[in-house]
Amino acid sequence: MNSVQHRLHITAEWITDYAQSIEAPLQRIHGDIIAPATMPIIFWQSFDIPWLNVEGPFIHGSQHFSYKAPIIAEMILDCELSLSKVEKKVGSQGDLTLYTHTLVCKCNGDLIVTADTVLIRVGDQNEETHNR
Amino acid sequence: MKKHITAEAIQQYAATSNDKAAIHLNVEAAAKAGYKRTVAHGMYIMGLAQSLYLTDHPTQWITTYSMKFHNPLLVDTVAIFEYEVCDGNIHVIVAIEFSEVIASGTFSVKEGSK
Repeated sequence: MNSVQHRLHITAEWITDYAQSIEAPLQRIHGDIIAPATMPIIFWQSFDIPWLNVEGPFIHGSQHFSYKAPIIAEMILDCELSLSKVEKKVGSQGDLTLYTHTLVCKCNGDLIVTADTVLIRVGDQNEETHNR
Repeated sequence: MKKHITAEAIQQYAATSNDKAAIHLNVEAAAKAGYKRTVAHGMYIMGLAQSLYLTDHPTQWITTYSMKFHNPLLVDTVAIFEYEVCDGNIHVIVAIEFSEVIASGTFSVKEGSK
């Protein structure tokens, strides 16, 4: 299974805590608190991600967020995290495996944000498995 | 814009994000991975880059935001955030002394927040 889903209630308190952790100003649109653009990355903590249950560590390679509308406090978001691509490459650190993920968050069926995340694992997974 | 990256800030980010990988919090684990000190989360750097910009531009909200992470940023380091507006987008470079680039990114904004 290469995708997992979760419904999240985005409380004002959760937004405030996250904003404080990155020293972000608390922003509002029409009086409603909005989440910092990077906040969906912490939605990952709500998922059990079976394809990442391998020995790390993972390095964060790149990150992209694209918003149709801001995340507003008290929204209920239906989120789906998918593993969209796995690539093997050779870098200066040796064998690399690149895991490309896409997180899609919708509110009442309307797309709010898409977030693409590339995690890099150093070392050849197959080789390590054989050597165990 | 310069920002001192502290171990306390990384600990707070780890608690909030629940990303408690040892390399971010444990000096021995960081040393085993080849680093003199613990390493800041990439997403802390990306978050901080937006925060520093928005503190100066509080009526804008970010609609797209991309970042690539080039090198680890060790705690107790002064990071330099440089912004450049080009074709309606804001480019950001995060570097440390001797111009070593830690991360680079681009974001676009809309007016509308307060």
